[in-house]
Amino acid sequence: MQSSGTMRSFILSILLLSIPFCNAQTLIRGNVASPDGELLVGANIYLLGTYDGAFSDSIGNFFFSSFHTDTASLIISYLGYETYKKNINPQGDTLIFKVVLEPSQSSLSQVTITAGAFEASDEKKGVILRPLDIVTTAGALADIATALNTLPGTQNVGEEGQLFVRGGAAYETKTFIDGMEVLAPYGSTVPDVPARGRFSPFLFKGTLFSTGGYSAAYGQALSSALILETQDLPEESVTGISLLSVGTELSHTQRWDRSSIAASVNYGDLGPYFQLSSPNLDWSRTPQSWGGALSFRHQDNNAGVWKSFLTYNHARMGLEFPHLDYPDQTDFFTNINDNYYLNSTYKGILAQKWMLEAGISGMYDDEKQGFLWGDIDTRQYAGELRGVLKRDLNSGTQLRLGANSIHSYFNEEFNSPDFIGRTELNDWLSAAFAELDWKLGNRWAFRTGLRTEHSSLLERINIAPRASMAYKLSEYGQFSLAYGHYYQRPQYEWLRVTQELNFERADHYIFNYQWNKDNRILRLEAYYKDYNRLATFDSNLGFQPEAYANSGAGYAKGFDIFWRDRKSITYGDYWISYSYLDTRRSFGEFTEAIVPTFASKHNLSVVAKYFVPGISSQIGMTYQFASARNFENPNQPGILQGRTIPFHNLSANISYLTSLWGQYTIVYASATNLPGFKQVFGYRYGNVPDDQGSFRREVIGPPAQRFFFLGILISITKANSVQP
Amino acid sequence: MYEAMGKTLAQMGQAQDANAMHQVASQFERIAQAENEQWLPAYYSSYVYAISSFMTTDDKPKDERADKAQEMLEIAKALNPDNSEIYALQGFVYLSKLVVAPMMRGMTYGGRVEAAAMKAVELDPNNPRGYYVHGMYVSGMPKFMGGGPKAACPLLTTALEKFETFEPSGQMEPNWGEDGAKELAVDCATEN
Repeated sequence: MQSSGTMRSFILSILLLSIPFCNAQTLIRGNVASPDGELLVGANIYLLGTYDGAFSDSIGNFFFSSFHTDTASLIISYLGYETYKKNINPQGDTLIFKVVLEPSQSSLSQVTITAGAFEASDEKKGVILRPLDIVTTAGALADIATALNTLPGTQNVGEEGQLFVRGGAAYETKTFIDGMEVLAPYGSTVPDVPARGRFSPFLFKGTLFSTGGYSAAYGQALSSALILETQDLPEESVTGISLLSVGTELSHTQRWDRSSIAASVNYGDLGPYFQLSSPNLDWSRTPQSWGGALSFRHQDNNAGVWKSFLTYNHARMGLEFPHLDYPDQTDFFTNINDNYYLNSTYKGILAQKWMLEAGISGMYDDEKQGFLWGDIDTRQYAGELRGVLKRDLNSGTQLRLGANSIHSYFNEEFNSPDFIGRTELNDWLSAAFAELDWKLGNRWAFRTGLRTEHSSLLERINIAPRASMAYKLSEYGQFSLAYGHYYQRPQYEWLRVTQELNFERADHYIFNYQWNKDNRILRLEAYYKDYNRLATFDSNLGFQPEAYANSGAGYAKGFDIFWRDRKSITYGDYWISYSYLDTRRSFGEFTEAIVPTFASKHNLSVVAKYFVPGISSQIGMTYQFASARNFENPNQPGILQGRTIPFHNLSANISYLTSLWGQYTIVYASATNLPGFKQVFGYRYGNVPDDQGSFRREVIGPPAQRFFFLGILISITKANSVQP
Repeated sequence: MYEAMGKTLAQMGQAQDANAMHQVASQFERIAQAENEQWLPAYYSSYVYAISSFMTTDDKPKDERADKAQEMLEIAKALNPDNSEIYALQGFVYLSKLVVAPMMRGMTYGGRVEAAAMKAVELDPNNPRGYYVHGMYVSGMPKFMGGGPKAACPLLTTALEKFETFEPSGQMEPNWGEDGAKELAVDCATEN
């Protein structure tokens, strides 16, 4: 070794010595290093447009000669680093370069603002979830909101099935699909039966769940935004057949070179299931649903993408139970719902660095509810037009300008023997925003935005500043801060009698630390949310305009811990979320500050997934805990003085991957609340005291103590079945 | 150009590890930028970057090299669109992306590998590399997804038949894969 090294340097020196004698030949030599002083081995160094070049050796040195005598560009490239380019003038002498290459933006673990945000994506690096996680989380049954409920910042509210974020009510979380607000993202249901999202997680390639401090591009949500991005062109044509214990779904996707069309129909019926499993509830009509979806994708020549999709859904169900005040009578709820949704967007390059996102969407929802005392028919419509312009100013700096306008229509008809009433409300909610993302070096990132909204119904304007920033401490760790004002139009419930109300308001303050290395993520977040101008109703004044005001206020504060490890266990993956919440506010019928019934102080989720190669199966377990919630017990003095028992749930699932007739098949089984924990979400009390002077009550609990689900999903693709 | 290409092809034959392959790929890249109207240097650069990615064990450089292979392939594709060899190589490059994270990328990149391989066969049914790349993918795919060496047998047999009769149209034209196909075919014959 020693002697061959000596030999090599000897030959090198002869080469070096011989060079000055060749007149027009230029020797180019030097070394290449990273900013940290690490010598880069195997960098590609050459004169552009010529064959002359070399690689850097094991100590980052390079040399080569060239007979080229014109001005030429010296290129030094190395994977993961920005390419170095310099014009040189080879004149037969020796040129020496000591080059430090900067890491390329794409290879760097970039500083990103993570305060309040949980992202699921296949494309981006360092995200917390993959879209598949939503489908494979035990207990979620492929429902987006239920899966996200295993993340910190959410509260378990088992009877609703919707997202409750950091002490906020369900309505404070808005869902956006391709940038546009969704009027009714959850299916209709009857009381006590948790709602499911209308949209299948398979529709989306990216999910951004913000538990606060979200961007100025979105509005009208006091607490949280769930931002969903639909799939682009599918990879290939595929036919899907799903046979489930509760229904069936057929779908077909046809892919052409630049376009695709997908169509699906579904039918669901929980009747046979509930007949077998003796549910807690007495169904007059077991939940039944059917619907269909049609979607279209097209990619144009300028990398522009058109996306359209249309869905229709019909659902009906009915429950019967003994009347709380008159036990010999039967009380009931029924619900019949029809829902249509259209979403159409275009995303493309407009002109010179300007990107355009434009969209139109509309939802029409008709819900017919039946009660012992009468019927309510609610018809709602919301249509939105939206446009956003984006411009990349330079690396890491992006300007976004956008505007949208939503027309919503609300029509509610009461029909009972003693009262017939109708409410009709119309609102044009228009908004505009500007937002700038910028970076200072490689360590600092900032996002500053301003949003303004006007409601024609309220005749009010709001102006909402938002700002967030991140500072990268090291390769793996970073801090983020977020601050913003968030406004929301009061619910129709309060606007029905008077429109003399203002936007409700919440201010968010979020502090976040995130550490992300080799498939392990630790995330700590503390927050303070300041509620103001919440709509209130003073029941002492009755249904008079004077009873309604923006006099509610309060706070929610707490912290979240999230740990996910996909590395330590081969084929295994788990995450743990813990949220601490302290909240108190006056709102709605509560004119003095209370802890809302949907708030629980401690929430814990443990999600584990393990793939067993021997049996080609993935096994999943989810454990959830929530501390006691408040409820109002009219048999005792005071308000919200009752406490439920804490909530426990343990769910398990197994997905067996196999092939049927040569086609990719998943056999799926899942069980919710496997140990059969007693779950009490609250109590419903009667209005009339019994003979002893106390009010009768019944438990608000899950529709079935345990829920079992079985399904077979078959994907038929041409490629699978083609044999040469 | 032919001399430089020939030398580099010879170096490729001698390269034993990922870094040596990477250097060969970079050398092809240098030729490609000098001869920016020829598709073959970019094609080979892409092919060898993909091989160096396959030979690399660490995820990050593995992924970067696969991306580089795609970047060079785009250059070759722009110079010679609708060429069967380009699509066969595209399948190979997608496969190099897939194996970086099979659990996460299997669904998307698997479809892409198959679509590219099928396009290669469609453009030239006599090109063995379309079948070979498809067979490579099926062979490595888990059994429960309808893959495995046995499932790949028909594709590999067809590839070998095509290799028998395949004659590249020029000395530098793509002519790789026969040995690899034979090796995989042995696996498929021995598996029960």
